[in-house]
Amino acid sequence: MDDFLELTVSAMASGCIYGLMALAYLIVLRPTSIINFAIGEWSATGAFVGVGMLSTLAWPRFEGPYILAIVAVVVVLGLLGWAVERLTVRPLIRRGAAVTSPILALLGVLVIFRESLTLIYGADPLPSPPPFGFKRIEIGAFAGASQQFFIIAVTLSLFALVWLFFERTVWGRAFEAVALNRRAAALMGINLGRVTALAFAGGAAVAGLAGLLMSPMTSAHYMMGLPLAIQGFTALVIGGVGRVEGALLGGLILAFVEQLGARYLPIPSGLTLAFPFALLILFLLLRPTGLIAPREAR
Amino acid sequence: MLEAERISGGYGGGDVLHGVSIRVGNGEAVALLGPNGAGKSTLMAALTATLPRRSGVLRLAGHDVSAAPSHALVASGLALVPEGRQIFAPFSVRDNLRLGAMALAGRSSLAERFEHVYALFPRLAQRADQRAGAMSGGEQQMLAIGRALMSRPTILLLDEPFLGLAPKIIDEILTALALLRRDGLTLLLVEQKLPIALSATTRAYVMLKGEIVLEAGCEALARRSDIHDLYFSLAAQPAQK
Ligand SMILES: Nc1ncnc2c1ncn2[C@@H]1O[C@H](COP(=O)(O)OP(=O)(O)OP(=O)(O)O)[C@@H](O)[C@H]1O
Ligand SMILES: [Mg+2]
Repeated sequence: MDDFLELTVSAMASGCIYGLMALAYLIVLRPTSIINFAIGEWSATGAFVGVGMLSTLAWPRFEGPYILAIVAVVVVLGLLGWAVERLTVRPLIRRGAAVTSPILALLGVLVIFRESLTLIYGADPLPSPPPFGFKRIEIGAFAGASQQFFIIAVTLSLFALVWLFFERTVWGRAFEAVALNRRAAALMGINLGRVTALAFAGGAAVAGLAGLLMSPMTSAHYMMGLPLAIQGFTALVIGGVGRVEGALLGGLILAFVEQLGARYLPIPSGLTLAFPFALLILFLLLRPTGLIAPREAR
Repeated sequence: MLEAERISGGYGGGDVLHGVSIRVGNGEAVALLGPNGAGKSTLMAALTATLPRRSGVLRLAGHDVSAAPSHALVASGLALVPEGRQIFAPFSVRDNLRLGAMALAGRSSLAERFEHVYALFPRLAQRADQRAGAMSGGEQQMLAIGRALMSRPTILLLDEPFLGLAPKIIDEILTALALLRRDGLTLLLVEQKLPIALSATTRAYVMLKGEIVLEAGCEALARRSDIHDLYFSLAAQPAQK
């Protein structure tokens, strides 16, 4: 039983990371219909930017507040997302390209980011200091690493903020309006180009944050983006591509299935990505709208 | 107020509009008539910069806005009530109206806009918190018009706003349009039925196959026997040449 409670905390933490990745997909996908697989690389970039803030720049060890690293990741990744939209997506849309063109262009962006990371930071993993050290924390029957609790707290706060943005602010409504009916949204005076750019900036910032939060467990590594991109996409498909809360739900379901499976099923550890793929195929076949369906346009 | 010169364009392959020129003067109410598939809605898309492909010159209040994107046109006072209403069905009535004011600057004018629209269509005030998609067709049309008015337009384009509505609702909306005209709003009304167009406008263009084939005062049009015969004879003319 203790065993299971410990697993609960670590599955919650992983689920939160997957949920953040799903959210990063969702923020871009809803108003633009573009599936941006580059967010995996953007989370790796976020990890490196954060670790850079925390150690490399102020060697031997930057002892400033962790919040500075978080702010740096959000700002730098937001700007990168914005720039990528300007340089790759917008010119294609302006020329009337089909929606598949930006998706392919973003696969190119993915490669550029991955190669740039190895050029700048090298191929070796960089250790990432967790903000609360390597303490173990016990809350009632639940126990886990301090970083796991930190991930859960940050993710839940961020989801609450994003939910408030979409449900309670005019700009959130405008994003959703673009998702429902692009032309009608344009006729409202909503600047579609600005919504697209903001969606990329927001998606990149969320992905970067997920990378930073994840990095103390795996180290910042140029290959860390690929599994995150796959797990996040699976979480998105499970939860449904319509709603913010679906992204979190999908992430948590995926993480629990993964961890329970790894513990109780005889599956070699090298095959852990088999879980997201199996779930992905299952959901695409049986429930392509995900668990929480998007709002109907009519 | 609004001048379109030699507008051509379409959706992908061939042109739907072939060098269409129309002008609507300040405070005027003009009808655009034409049968199904004439290109009326396509022209509305061209005038609001939501048509994929377009050439020609567009002027709004004397300024050349040929290159302006839709959101800039809305901000400069041009609003369209699109064909089929296109309201945001999952949102509340209030949220739909609020989105109509996206191009409006200033909080104080926002409250004034809500008041204006609620005064024009009191049903919308009663239904403010209701899901827009759950309303009747007539109420949805009122919402579509109210939403367009939220941006404080100087010229309002309406694309077949009366389609499928009960006579009582049509009268209600016609009354609202008359009030708006009295306050100086310029109107361009797309319509298929001559009697409705006559009651709301003073001048009309007739469009066929992507071209303007006739421009006339509404009174002169009313004296012609039957608008359907008119469409038919106009449609037949080019074939005779
Ligand atoms: N989205 C679209 N993509 C491609 N072709 C279109 C599209 N919308 C309209 N068309 C074509 O353009 C032509 C003109 O259509 P349009 O909708 O402008 O006519 P209309 O005068 O508004 O007719 P109605 O009175 O039925 O609304 C038609 O031949 C139609 O098939
Ligand atoms: Mg039409």
